[in-house]
Amino acid sequence: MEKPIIRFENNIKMKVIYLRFRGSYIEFRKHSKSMYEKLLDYAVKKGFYQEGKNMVMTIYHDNPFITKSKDLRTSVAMSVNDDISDVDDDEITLMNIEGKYAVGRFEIKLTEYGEAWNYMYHEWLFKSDSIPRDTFPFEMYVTRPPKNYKDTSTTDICIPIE
Amino acid sequence: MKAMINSERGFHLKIYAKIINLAEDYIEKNLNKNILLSDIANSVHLSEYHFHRIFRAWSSETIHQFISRIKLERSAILLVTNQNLSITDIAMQYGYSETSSYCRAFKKHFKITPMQFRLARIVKTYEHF
Repeated sequence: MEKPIIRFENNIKMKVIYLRFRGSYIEFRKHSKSMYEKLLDYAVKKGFYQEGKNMVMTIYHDNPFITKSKDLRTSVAMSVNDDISDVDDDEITLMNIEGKYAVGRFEIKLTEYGEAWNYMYHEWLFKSDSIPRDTFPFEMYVTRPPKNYKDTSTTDICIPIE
Repeated sequence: MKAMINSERGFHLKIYAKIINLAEDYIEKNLNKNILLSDIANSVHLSEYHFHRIFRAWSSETIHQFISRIKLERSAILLVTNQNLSITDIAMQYGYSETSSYCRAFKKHFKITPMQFRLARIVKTYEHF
């Protein structure tokens, strides 16, 4: 895995629709594809989807080294226009993501996501002067995640900082 | 019959997902405060009674147990990621009016004190390097 390019986004402001999963990451991975599909289907049906504009991400609300796996909360999310104010679905919810983030852009294979997250925290954050901010980090898919274990895709790992 | 009941229960739980999501998002934004059931219920436009019942149907925890756990787990992350903050600073940040009550709650949850947790994670971090 190559070292990422790190940049600072001082004022991220995104409105997203999301579906939230509760349970281990192993279980999440079994459900994530259908969750993304449900989100996309809803966005298309409601006219929220704009080709090339919506950003898709996975949000990690809890730390897997601290929270028990059965209590982990992971959301699949998609950015939408700021003028969206309501979502008429029982499961899909709307929220804002705001603030300053350190963003590591990675070119990684499917098997390298863990290594990428490890890099952002252990190699970069703990060695930098940046102060972590108490909210959730997320990974944003700049290009579609690869469908096999050989190809790579571009992913931004976003760590909230002060 | 049991399958039907479980299926119905699953359906009812599904319609609660958004309420739970909104409640969790409210809690996320207010971790530094003393979060009341009434505040959360108001944020999702339900009575305290109804929200409490929905949360109990959804989760094995009460809402107070959930809030307490999230605060302690978040404080644990801060103990490791921000060495400049004192235990008292961190306790205050999560709405504890006294350091001693924070430390007691922390030890009850993690089985070690906040200081022991911090030291253990620092050692683990340096071992990683």
